Amino acid sequence: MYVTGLVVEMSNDQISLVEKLADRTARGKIIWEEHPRKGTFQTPFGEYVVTIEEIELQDEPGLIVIEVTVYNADGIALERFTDTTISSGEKNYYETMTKLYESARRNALGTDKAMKEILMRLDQL
Amino acid sequence: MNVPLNSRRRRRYATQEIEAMDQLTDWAVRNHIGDLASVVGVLKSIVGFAVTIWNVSRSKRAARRAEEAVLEVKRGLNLFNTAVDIAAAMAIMEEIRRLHREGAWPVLPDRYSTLKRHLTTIRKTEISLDDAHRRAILLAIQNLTGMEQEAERAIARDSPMNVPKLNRLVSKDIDRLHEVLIDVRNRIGGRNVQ
Repeated sequence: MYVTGLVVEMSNDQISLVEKLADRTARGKIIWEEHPRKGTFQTPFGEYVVTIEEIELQDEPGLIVIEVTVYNADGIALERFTDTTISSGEKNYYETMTKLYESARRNALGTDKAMKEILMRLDQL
Repeated sequence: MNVPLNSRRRRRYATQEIEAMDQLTDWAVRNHIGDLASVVGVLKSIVGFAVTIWNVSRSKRAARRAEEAVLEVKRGLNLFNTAVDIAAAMAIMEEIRRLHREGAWPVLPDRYSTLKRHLTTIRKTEISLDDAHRRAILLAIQNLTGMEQEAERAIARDSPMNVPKLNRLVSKDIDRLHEVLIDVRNRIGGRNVQ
């Protein structure tokens, strides 16, 4: 009973984290950066760092999921979850987390800035 | 009874002394010398007490000034040590960049660990760093953790690493640490020790 409650609470925190990250990223309040690991992006919050990455599940080759990890200042992973672990029958978070991942990637690589500049220069031609 | 001459003389002198004392007492009573002495005594006590308080306060101020001076020296030393640690960390980063180019993967995990220790020391330093500088150190530690894992994976699988990307990240961290170093050095020079 207690364990079930704890799992629900953890899952709620994880969902809140995803929703808030998605919202703040969309509003340009968060700056994402590249991470040494391929296809991984990170952003710091106080003494913690959040990373987001696309991973292929080892037990289900070909299945790509989005994973969010929270690290402490020593680089130790404190929390790790994917869109599949927080999705339930009521709601699937694959789309939300995929959008978040794409926004983080564009933010980290400066895609939007590059596109705006190219379009501006094209308009000047 | 026949009293000797010397004894009579002594008695007369004693009587004269007593009379003189009585006159002095009368004079003191008439002129309120006793009250005056009490007042002087009280005043003297008050002044003495005030002087004692002032001396204690002066000693306290001196002790506080000495304590502040010690703290100031300690803060200055902390700033100096932090500047040394940052410079050492930047030197190791330069070395890591070179080792990446040379593909010296077996020695790199040790360098990452050494650098991580330096950065952790800087992060835990007692001097106040602003948010941007703390973020810079945090991200550098995070990047090192990522690089360490990637290097271990590359060694185990004998797979190539994306050197340009890794060195781009290291360069970014060097630039950020350089800003932190400038700030710390300015504070040492300007004695703006916090």
